[in-house]
Amino acid sequence: MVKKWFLLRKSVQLFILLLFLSPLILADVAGANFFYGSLTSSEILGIRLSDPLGTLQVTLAAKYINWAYIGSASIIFFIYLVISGRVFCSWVCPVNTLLECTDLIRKKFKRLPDIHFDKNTKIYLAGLMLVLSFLISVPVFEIISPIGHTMRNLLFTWGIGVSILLAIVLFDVFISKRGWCRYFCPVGGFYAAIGRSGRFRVKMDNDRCVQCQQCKHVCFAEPSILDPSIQGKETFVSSGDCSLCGACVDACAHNALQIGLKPIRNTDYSKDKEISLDQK
Amino acid sequence: MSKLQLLKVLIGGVAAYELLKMMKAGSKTVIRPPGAVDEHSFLALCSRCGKCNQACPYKAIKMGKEDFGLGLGTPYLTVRDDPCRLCEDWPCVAACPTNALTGIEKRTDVAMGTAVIDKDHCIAYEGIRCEVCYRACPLIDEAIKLDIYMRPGDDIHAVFAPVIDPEKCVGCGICENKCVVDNPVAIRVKPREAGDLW
Amino acid sequence: MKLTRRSFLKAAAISSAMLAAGCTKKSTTPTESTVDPEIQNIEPDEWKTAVCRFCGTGCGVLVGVKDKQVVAVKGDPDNRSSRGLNCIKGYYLGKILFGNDRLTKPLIRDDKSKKGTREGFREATWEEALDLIASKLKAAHAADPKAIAFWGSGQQTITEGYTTAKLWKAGLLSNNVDPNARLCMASAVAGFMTTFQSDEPMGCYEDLDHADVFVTWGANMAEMHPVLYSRLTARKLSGTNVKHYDLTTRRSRTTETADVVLEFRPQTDLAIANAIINYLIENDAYDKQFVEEHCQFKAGTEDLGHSVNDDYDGTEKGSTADQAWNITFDEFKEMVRYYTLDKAAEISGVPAENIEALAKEFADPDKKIMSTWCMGANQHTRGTWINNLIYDIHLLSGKISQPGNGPFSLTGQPSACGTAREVGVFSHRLPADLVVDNPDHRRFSELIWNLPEGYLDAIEKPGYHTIKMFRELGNGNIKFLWSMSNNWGQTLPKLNRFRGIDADGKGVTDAFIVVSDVYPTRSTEMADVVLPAAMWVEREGQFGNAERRNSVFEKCADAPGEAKWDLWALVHVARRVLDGKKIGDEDAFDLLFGSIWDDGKNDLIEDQHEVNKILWEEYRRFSNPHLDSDPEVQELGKQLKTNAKQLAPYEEYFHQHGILWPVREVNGQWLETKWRYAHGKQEDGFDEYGVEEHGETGKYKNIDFYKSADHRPTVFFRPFEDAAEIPDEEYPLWLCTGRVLEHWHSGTMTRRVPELHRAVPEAFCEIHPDDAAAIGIQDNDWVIVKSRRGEVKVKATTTGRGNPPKGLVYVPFFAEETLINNVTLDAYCPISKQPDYKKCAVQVAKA
Repeated sequence: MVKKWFLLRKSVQLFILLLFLSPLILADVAGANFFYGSLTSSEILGIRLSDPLGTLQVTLAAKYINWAYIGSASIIFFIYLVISGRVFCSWVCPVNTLLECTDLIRKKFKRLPDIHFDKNTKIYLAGLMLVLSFLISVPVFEIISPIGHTMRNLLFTWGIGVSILLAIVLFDVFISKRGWCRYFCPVGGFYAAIGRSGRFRVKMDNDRCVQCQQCKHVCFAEPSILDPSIQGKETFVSSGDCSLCGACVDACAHNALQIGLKPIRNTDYSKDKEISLDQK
Repeated sequence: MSKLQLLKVLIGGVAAYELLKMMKAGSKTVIRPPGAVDEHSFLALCSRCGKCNQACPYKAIKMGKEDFGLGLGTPYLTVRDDPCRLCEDWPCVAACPTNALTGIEKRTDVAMGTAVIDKDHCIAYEGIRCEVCYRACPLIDEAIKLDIYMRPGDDIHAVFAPVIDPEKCVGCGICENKCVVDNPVAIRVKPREAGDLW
Repeated sequence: MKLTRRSFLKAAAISSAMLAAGCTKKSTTPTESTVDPEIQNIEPDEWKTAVCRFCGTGCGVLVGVKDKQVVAVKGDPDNRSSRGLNCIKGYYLGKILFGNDRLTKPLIRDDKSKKGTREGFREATWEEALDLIASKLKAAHAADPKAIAFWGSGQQTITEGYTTAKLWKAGLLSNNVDPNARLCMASAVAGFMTTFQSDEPMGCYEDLDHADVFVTWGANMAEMHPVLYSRLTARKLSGTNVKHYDLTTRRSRTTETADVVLEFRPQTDLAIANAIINYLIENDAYDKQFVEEHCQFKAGTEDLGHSVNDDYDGTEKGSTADQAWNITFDEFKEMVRYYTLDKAAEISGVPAENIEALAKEFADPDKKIMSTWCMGANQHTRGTWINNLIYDIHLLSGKISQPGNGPFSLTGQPSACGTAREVGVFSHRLPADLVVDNPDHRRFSELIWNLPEGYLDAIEKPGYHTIKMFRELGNGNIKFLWSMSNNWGQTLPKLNRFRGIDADGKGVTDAFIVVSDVYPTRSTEMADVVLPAAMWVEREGQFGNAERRNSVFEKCADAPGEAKWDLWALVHVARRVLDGKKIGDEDAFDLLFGSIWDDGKNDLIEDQHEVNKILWEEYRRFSNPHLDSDPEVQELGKQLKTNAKQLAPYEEYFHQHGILWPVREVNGQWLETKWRYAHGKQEDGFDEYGVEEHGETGKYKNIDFYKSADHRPTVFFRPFEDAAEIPDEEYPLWLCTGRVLEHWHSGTMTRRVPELHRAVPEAFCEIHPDDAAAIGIQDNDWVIVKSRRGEVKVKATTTGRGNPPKGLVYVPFFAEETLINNVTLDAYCPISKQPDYKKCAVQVAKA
């Protein structure tokens, strides 16, 4: 079976990594790079892009509205708003790229514990970061963010970020399967919060579904989000937690799952006519 | 969210708040890139994105590590190793998305710090014809001038003593970088006042 | 830390590691020195006397030695040239010994295809290297005596230079020996010789303490003669109303502290000087009695054209450039009449009132004026002329040879005077102001060197001067070249040719080239054999500085590895080359170098002090004929007035920490002469004995120019003639090259001192902000500086130490990775043969 979405996603992850590493390789070629920066803020062909959660933190911390900055974050914000928030997590985030490796370890050692937490914790933490940023006048999560640290370790300087990342890896391996991303990452929380409005969704064809649960088995975000669809309650997986990684689509032996575009007007998911992206 | 969870988050939040407060107090006064807003605002505004680091053609801007407390991930310079060359197109300032670096049009707008000469160790003050810092200064005869006077105890030689004008010095650190005296360096840039951080 | 107790080094064990300075082609960052704080306080066992080996100022230093290692350097308060002061180069002088890539073994290149790189060498024994050199030298000499050449240096010691000259001129009967001083002081020499018939200045540094007005004619003393500038500045501070006029083509650090600045279009200093002369005459403001009693007037060949082509010296203008004939004062007056203040202002771009202000200073009989100049005047396609013109002004105003009054030619190298000029390591000279084309001069040399009468007639024709020498090398006419204490692979003008890159420079790669040096350089890249040399105080030596002061430096440490004293190598090659040759009935080597050869050991006498002393005393016979045992030497010496540069016995220099010649023995004391030609008490520094022996006392101002023809120096008419290459539409900017305070010449030593390398790590191109804006660059941007001959990439700077006017850029030549001499022009002064590094036309574009 060709893991089509898997390959596509890996390619994108690799491309994103190379894109951010490109200044290290291409630097000084012509004095200016077509791309530079980090996930917090970057510049591509002169267009400035910023991380919305970071922007919110900075704005709250500084108590100062910088429209250019907010504008640069809005571009990213609306892209994710339209596609689906947590697409960031499985397609872009370098920490996830790293943590996906923990799945391989867990595949080998199947008896490792897996403690579950409330998946909304990350949303509360995102809120907490904003409150703390406001109170302490420092963009709090930007200091400890494993994403920021990964970027800094790759691009700028080796530092404590290595320990933070190692702690997360150990947590994911020995305590909770993909626990950081599923339950705690405030960035994921932020994107989960806007995730429901995304236009791209996993679509379930209940006629084909044989209730084998394979899709839940491979779900990266939170297996329970597939339950309403499996049970036939919704055609499109509606949870903001879904990161559109496509693993469930790849895994379904019966072609019951696809990733499709959800029409905007109709809120009744079950009766929608979907447009399939997945032309087989 | 259950009450218990809410309690957990609240306790965690208060703990984090106290911890962050402690870290912020540990923040250092360092030499910031050109155009850095005052330290308090800088810590708030800097998104730790590192673009200024990448924009610097001389790789002079470094990123703070954990010993910077809340300044972790913020840009700074160690001018003895690599000073600010005061590029006239200000690539670091232009790169900053948040206006943490801002407001620089010409070299004299910069205020990163002020050079201070250690007269006990500066060999020019002993009459040695050095004045390397003076000749290296991008604002020569403004930020660093020569105070020329008769060498004490010598009726045929003069002392060419470099003197800083704190009003004009922008703190780029080229003087500190070039100083030929070591242990200790005879001219050092004192970072701009960080003020009361908390 | 105290200035008087500077210790900075420890024993060799860690010195190489801590002083490692990366000066390879690619690296521009030296390894940081990690000085152990403890070793900063090593107490030397003893302090030895030495002299700085950088510029022509000749500052004295004391070298702290412990366990045969140099551990500290400090200023020597007993040296009368510097009185204990140093510049930053002198402060870190000791560190030049410890670069981590010192040459320590002879290297031989078997594969000529790698020439121009640092590859392709193998280590060899001295025996093999010396045998190879001797066989190549012999073969080339046998095939064509004109095909051998030696390029010496103003950084060789006096005895090294003397040995070089003796080997080449008497041993090989070749005049193809010239020093790098040709690039530096030749115009000063030609100026002195044409005007006074006697080389070297009449005044001394003490003039700096007495002058009321200073005029710098193309000299950035603030950077290039830092300690002298400190002295000049002290005079400005302590005297009343002392003024400084700076004539320059680019605002330098010297300019910034001057009172009046005459910023002139390059080459037009000739017009300004003429306007001052004309002003003095027109306004009857010259010293009439001085002119009547002391001066004669001459005009010379004009419209000389430019020595751009290889055959220039043979052309009608080239071969007659040095001809001159007597004219009357009235004729002279008529000739300079053209140069009115307005005319000079028009030509030079300097406001007439500024020229007039300077002329008025010379017109004031009560003002004492000291003129100083260096490369701005000497590296000039009319370098001899501008030297003549400065003398004209001082002669016409009678401001010469008195304390505080004098034209003073600054020198660039530590022993440009001592070694190159006094010893005569030039293609046309013999020791002590003697020249090869004068039969009496040759005869005198024959007497001293115990040569048969007429033996030196073989060298009556001058050999190749430096540029000719290297042009002929390029043309394939020089088959053997030995260079010592210099770096021609970086410092010759129009360098692509002399590195064998241009089509007419191919002979460079085919010739057999020997380079004696202490570090890998741009010249060792061109070598077939590299000889590792002992540097500075790793051997005993003597330098002669700009004010005629000869100073000695003691041997303080052994050279590293197998590095050897250059003089040792010279004599060993002489031993091989002269093997079996006879001069008269005597063995050639024994006759010439037997006195310093230890037959028992079949080697140079081991004690360097002994060798130096023997050579010094032999060399001293030239200038002490009256003390000679040979009546013929006495008689001819008196006639040639060679004791006008009388030297003291060798040991005296150690006692006195340097002495100005002529040195006179008075009541058992050896007393120096500060003001030549001026009669007065020898104790006070006047030329009592010289004037009394060769001239008459009681003449006007107590001066007798006894060395000059008819005791009258010449006031020359020298017109303004424009530069060899003038900016045009295609190459719109002037290029001027030069030095920086922090580095010495080609940087091979100072760039290996981490502190100095840190201070100025790379070359730069100073450009006016308007010119920078016109080509769209900012401070620190890379630019290409390009001329018709080559190009170089360098960082532009618009704010800084030097501020050129619009239309002129300045690039220093110390950086081996920035070969600005690929761009410069090799046109030289037709009289002095010194090339002009200060003017050529370039374009500058964003890189």
